Amino acid sequence: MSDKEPARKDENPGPPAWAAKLLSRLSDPDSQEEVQGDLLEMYAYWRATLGERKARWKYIGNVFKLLRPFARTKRSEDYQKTYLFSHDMIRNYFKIGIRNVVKNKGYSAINIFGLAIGVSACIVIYLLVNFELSFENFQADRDRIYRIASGFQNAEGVESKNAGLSAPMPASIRQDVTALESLAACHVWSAKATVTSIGDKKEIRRSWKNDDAEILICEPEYFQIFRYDWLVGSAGTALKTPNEVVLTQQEAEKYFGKMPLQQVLGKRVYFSDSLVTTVTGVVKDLPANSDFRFKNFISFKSIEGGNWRKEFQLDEWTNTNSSSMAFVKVAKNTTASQINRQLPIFLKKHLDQKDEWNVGRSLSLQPLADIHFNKDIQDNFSRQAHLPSLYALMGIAVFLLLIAAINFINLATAQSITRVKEIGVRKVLGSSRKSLILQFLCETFIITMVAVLLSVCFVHPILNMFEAFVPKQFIFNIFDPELLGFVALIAFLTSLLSGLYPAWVISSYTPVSSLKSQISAGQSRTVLLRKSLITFQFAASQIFILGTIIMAAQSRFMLNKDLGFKKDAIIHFYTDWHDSELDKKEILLSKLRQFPEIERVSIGSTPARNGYSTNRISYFDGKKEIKLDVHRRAVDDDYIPLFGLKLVAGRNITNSDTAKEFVINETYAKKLGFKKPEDAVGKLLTYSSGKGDLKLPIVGVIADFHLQSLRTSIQPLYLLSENKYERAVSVKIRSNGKSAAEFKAVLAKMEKTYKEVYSTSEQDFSPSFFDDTLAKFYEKEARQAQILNTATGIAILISCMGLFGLAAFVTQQRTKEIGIRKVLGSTIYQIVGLLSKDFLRLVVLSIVIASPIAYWLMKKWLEDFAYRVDISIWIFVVAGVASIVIAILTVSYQSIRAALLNPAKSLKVE
Amino acid sequence: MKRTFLGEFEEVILLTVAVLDEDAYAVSVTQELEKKTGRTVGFSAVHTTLQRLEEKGFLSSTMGGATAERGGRRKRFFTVTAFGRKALQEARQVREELWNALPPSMLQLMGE
Repeated sequence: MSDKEPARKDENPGPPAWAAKLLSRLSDPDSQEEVQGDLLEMYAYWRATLGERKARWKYIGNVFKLLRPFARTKRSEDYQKTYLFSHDMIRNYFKIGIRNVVKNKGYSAINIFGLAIGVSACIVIYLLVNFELSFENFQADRDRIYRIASGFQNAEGVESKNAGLSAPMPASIRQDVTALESLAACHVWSAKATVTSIGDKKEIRRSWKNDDAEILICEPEYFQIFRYDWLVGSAGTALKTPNEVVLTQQEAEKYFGKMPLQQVLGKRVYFSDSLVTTVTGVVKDLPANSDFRFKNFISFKSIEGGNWRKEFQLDEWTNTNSSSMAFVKVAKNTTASQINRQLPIFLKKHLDQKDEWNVGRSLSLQPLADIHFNKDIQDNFSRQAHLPSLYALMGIAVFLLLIAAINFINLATAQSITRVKEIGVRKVLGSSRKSLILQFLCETFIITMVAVLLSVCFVHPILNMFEAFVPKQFIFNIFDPELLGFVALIAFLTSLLSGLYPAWVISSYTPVSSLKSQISAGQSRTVLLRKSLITFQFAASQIFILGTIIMAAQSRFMLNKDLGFKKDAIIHFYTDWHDSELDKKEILLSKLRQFPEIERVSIGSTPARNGYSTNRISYFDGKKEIKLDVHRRAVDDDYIPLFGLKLVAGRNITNSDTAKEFVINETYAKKLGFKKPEDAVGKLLTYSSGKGDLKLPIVGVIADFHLQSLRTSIQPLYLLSENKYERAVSVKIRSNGKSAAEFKAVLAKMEKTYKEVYSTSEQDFSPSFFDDTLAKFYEKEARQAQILNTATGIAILISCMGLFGLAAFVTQQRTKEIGIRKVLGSTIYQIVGLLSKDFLRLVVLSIVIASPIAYWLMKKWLEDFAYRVDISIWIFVVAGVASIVIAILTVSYQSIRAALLNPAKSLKVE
Repeated sequence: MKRTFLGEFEEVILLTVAVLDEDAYAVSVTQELEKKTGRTVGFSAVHTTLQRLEEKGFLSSTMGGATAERGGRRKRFFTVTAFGRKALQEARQVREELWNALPPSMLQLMGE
């Protein structure tokens, strides 16, 4: 207080400052001024009459008595105040806003376009993520539905999981395990479906291949667990007897055309030519967000007798096939753990614990919601989603939106300089800060709305761009209320995010300085913020760029790495799987061998493959027994030369119908403790086949090659010749100088031969090129790379648009300066350098910030691969130079244009 | 008629404002009261009473011009309204009527 009192600024101290401050804060607003003055006067009076100490006390006492913390001014009717949300003002805000958007066409276009791209990326990612996360959420009792999955331990004690369980288990579980409301045993099946119809007095047969997990053989309880809408028939009666089938509506239409569903009842469907079924119900297809895409439901009773029983291994307690599953619905108020506790007891009761295979087996409940995501439990019908990828996608969406919002903030704060006068006038005419903020938010809102509308138009093209990642069943419907809600939310959030800070800055100018034009573009706080935002933007883009480069490097590495075998000009196909006759296969092979175009034909699965099968093999080295689960490839004597594998010791395998001898790889030899591969030759391995244990010799050792994708390291492997069961055929074509057309001709010839041999086969000749098959191992990586490429493109585009706009603005502000510099003899290079330097510094800073972050992220990503590229310093150099070049190109357009301007013209600008 | 009621302190303050004429504001009223009555008067009480009297319509107020004193803060000057004058007169009349009604013996006892 005392400092404000010129009359008493001598030795006399004023009243306690804190009390004065308290008074100025909390006294009645209507009488504040005079009370403060009065008390000051009283204080002086008291000081003169009572002394300083008492005066202070009295002052404090009176302050407290005069505090009116809850008093509000009562003089509101004295002046008419502007109502913040008055209809006229809001209309005015919009009018001014639209005028401003139209006036600054360039900046508005940059803002709108950048925001639109960011928002549409957000919408697309929201759609995808939402779709994946919504799987099975329409099932009424989804919290109580589980699948019983099996667990195993291999020889080294490593656990693995299987979606299925041994076929006889479900029936016993139903008896032994309590608290289950219902349980359904199921088999996923692929078979040809045939229907007949009478046309022109002749029987017409029409067949469809059902390869894509469309047939489910299930118990009637399946329909109690999963709710379907029944169009004909009912869940209570269907599938109770053998040879029944329930179809979905689409499937019924496919088989029988558009006929009334009542007539479909009682029609015959033949599966695999031998299973005759009668339609007893039609259900509605499930929505797209379901993995349960089965369309034919065959009654379980159909396979309980005859040959089917054996084919589906209904009595095999030791075999576990992932297509043989059991779904349960637990009773109400029961937890999964209550069931899980009973399962070990169940297994102990039914499995022979002395059998080595049964050691470490377990059963557990897998929640329905988990089926779509758990990659440890693979089955052969669900199309799983990769959860970390989804989270990464969401992160990308947020970043893209942030980058777009930052553009807006930067341009708006920079541009606010040109509106300083407007603010001053508005404030003088009585505009409050609140209403100014509201006005600028309105402008942001206009721009955001245009951007959002535009982005809705972008969604479809972007979805097409992301085609590889968009599931086939995905449907885009813009009028989905949930989607509309999300779009509205995004619009609102973006407006606030990008509008609030500029509005706050712009409305903070004081009328006096703004009318005097004392505010320049160089307000330090705003400039600092703008600089850090640009740095953030470019750092984000830089991380995207680095990610893209490293992913691309890893993909190239995986596709081009020497895998230890040849992969070019090799065609791969399967012979008919129903046919186990050796003769036919031999006939086919010998016919193919006669082709002049074909160099070699071999039977045996390809060296590298997606799935795997292992056998437990033991070796006694004189002291101890070494038991390992070893990868298995059943091959013939052409296999090693065809794929160009290198024998490092011993000899090639000889053809045989049943296992007679082994060739092993170096890794296995090392694991068995042989120092040199030659030592392994001649040693005996114990191998359990269907006829009990066999002791067979090792005849050769081959150099290591990659058995699976490069995500996993090389495992022990043995080759054996067991031609009887092998259906995989590899064909090496003489490839030198062959064109694609010639390849096609060879394939056609091979197909003709195949058809001749397997004339009655229901399986088509479906060859694939081996190198394509290998590339498919890395589909996930390819998809990730594609998404990151797109995101990088978008991020760079938006950031550059922002930089471009900002450079344009700064250049425009300095037009005169440039003119003067030119007059005084600056060269064009100097001016361009002057204008670009500031931005370049920021870009370099962002590179410095982004590189370690990107390094860390990509290191994490690469950890998934057993064989990976090194992250070399050159990648960072290249990426850094790339973004510097991009930034220079963006900025230099503006700066060169400014530098070339005739000073006579630029100096005239007012 | 609604009875206007003045408390003792209110009456004294109203009177003091009338006495001070043009120069009545919270500080001068307080100091004048202390001078005239000899008792210490709380400033906050005076301020509150002045406000209450204004609310009741006995006083009206205007802000004075800004001065270099008191930190440049203006004073709020009070003047007695017609209604205030009437209230003062009524109070005085009541008192006088009561004095007049005093029995002579009582007056004698009081030394009159």
